[in-house]
Amino acid sequence: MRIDTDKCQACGACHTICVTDAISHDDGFGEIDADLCVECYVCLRSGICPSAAFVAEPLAWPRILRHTFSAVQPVQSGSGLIDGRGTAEMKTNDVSGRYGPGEVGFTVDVGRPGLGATFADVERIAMAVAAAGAVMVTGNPVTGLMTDPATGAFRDDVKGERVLSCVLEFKTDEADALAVVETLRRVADEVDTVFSVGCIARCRDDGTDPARELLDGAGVFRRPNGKTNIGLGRADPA
Amino acid sequence: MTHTLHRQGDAEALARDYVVLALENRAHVPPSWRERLARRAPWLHALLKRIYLGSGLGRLLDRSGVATGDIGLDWTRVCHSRRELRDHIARFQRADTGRSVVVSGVFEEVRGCLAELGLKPHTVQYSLGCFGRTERLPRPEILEITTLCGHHLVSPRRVEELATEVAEGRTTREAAAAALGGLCLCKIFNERRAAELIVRTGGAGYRCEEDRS
Repeated sequence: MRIDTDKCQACGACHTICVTDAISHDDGFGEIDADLCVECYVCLRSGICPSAAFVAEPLAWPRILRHTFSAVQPVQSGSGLIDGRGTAEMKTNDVSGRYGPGEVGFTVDVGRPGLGATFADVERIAMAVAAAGAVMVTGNPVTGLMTDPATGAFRDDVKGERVLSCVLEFKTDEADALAVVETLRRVADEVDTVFSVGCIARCRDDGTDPARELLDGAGVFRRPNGKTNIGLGRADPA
Repeated sequence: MTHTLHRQGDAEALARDYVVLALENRAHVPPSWRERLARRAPWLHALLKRIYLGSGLGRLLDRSGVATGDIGLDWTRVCHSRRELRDHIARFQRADTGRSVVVSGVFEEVRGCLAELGLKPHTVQYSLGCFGRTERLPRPEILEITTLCGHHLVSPRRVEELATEVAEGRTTREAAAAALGGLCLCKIFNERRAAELIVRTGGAGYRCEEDRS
């Protein structure tokens, strides 16, 4: 994204719209820091500029990754490597069976809420949890950027790219779940951003689930709110 | 995607904030009449689509994500009470769409609704909170609002700016909440809750660009 200086009227309307604070106004006219910009297009889509000075420029690989992961609508990268920001995760687990009995899934939203992250930071987290026994979920677009999902190593050409957030998705056996949480705590000191962690489990027939027991038993913080798949999905329709 | 997972706030506020998503299982659910029409008579489907989208009402419905399905249910909806949530789930239960339905909200309240309807949770996802450089985050009152948009398309500084305008009487809290909600493309932003929260922020933390040096 850039600001057309011929159109910008230095009105200041866009001072606060950028989610990553990439817009500065040193001389009254807006300017976008290309490193901080994650190509989310919020500034453009908001319509906040009265003179339509925001210009979406064509994005080449690997910068296109910024837009793909930061804008809500997925776009084609042209590389065939990625397809949108994330997967359906547990939302369709009643049909997909992605997370089965005895497994605990994790989602790590790197850069969220709002700080953004580079794939170098994402790699640090991925390599740490992979070493702790986590298995990356295939089909997730972040996994698709790894050269070796078994180690969590990423392609060199993408590591400098910054996104508003992206979702690392992996799972472990129940027995290893707490070790993964501990690993996430440790690697938190090694990254230059924040990440939000989700923990997924399939419920037993009585509605209880092993993740809650593991987390509460170990005194791991969890919010009172979260997501519940209520089991109405149908794999074999009548 | 995890965009409805990490909403923040106290139990009282969260008890008035639920998101219900209904997801199509493309590989398993039989095609809708529209999909069948598109396959068998693509020219007729294209013509009807053009007429539908050409009308103002069609554009409005499509943009709002409301009632574009065959059965008139909202595939994405924010509910503001346990009762509203229960009634909405019950409609899905009766409609038997075959879609996967996911509810985001306080677990105990959701479980209570499900029990009343004879349902049980199939899979759950807990939020373990935020790790890392949390000292770089905005103050909690602002995060409560910005996390209402799961993709974080709502700028903290924009929230502060609008909170200041509300505090100074230059706009209403409802108008400010609507302006913020317009940035959330998934339509999961709870504008009613945001309108309450934005008054509490008071805009005290906002400083204009010139003051940031």
